[in-house]
Amino acid sequence: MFNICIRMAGNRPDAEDILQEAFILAFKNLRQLKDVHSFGGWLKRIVINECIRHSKKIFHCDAWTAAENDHIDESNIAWWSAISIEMLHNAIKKLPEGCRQVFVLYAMEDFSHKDISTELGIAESTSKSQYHRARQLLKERITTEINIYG
Amino acid sequence: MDELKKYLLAHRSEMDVDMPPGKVWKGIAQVTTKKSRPLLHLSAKMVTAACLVTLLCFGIKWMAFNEKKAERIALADNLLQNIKNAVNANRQDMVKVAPRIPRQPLQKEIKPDNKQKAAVLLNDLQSTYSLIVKMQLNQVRNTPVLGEDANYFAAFKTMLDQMDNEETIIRKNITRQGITTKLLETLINIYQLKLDILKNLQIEIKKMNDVIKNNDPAADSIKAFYLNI
Repeated sequence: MFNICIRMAGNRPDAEDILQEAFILAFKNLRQLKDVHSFGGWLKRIVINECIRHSKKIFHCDAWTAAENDHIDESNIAWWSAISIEMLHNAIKKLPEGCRQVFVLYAMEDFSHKDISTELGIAESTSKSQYHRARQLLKERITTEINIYG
Repeated sequence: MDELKKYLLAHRSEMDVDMPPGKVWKGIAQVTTKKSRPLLHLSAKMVTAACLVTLLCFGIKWMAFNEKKAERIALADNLLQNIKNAVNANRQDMVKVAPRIPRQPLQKEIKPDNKQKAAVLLNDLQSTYSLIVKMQLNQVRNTPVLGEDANYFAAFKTMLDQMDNEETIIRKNITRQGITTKLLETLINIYQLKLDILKNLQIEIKKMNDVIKNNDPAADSIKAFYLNI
């Protein structure tokens, strides 16, 4: 749960606050849990909701050109598989506000763009463009880091 | 689904390496150790009201209830046998699916002449689940905890204490009002939740220990603590 908070918040202090709030909320609403076997999924949903609520306070979308909206560039196949998971994870955590939340929800929590647009109060096209932006930034930053540090 | 997404979903667990500091759990424990309303306050009132109505209608419904006597005994026997089979079949996996109890249209008390048999069955149920919980507790108590003191997991202890309180309330209700399917189902859910909490606690301890061992070359020299729960 804490890792979800860190990826969504982008920093530890905020992630700790979100995690604490989510657990307290879960304790207070424990009686609403009808099926004990779904406790993990229920708690995860509360944590994600709290992350989204926190994100909406600071979320802002930079305009992205419409031409880069839908097309996913797969020409450089699997550039991510040549780097360590740790490097990729660190780069995800450092993505800018807005596209980071969309990226995490879509690529790591398996939300659809439609669900993301509903949860974050943005257009579905904005969700898609922010995801593509995040992918592009990840690739650029990681490539730069490899070029500098090897 | 694009390839990057597939890759990330496949390697998601490898990215779950960050751990929250102890102060987060202390903060949660501070808030949650305040007096909370009993979980089943409303349910207990509803069960009491249902039992009173049932008693008032007892004379009229006596013949129909008698016809279902054999069915109820078979149901209770079946329930106990399911629990015993589950415990014997796989002791390694402590978390089991609670046996499904068919919903009854009314909250009915078990007939007076079956109360003794029902009490025996209930005792067997409680001792079986208590045994499983105790085994899981012993496992947790004997697991060394690296890198953090026992207060790090205080929130889990708080949850377990809360479950103990709820169990006590349900047992008192059963003593006062007799066994109903709803009370029985609630009791089973409490035991199941306890087992889930203990299992999750074990998973958290193991995760934390693995992170420390992987990241700290001097992990062997770190003093280990043991939880007293």
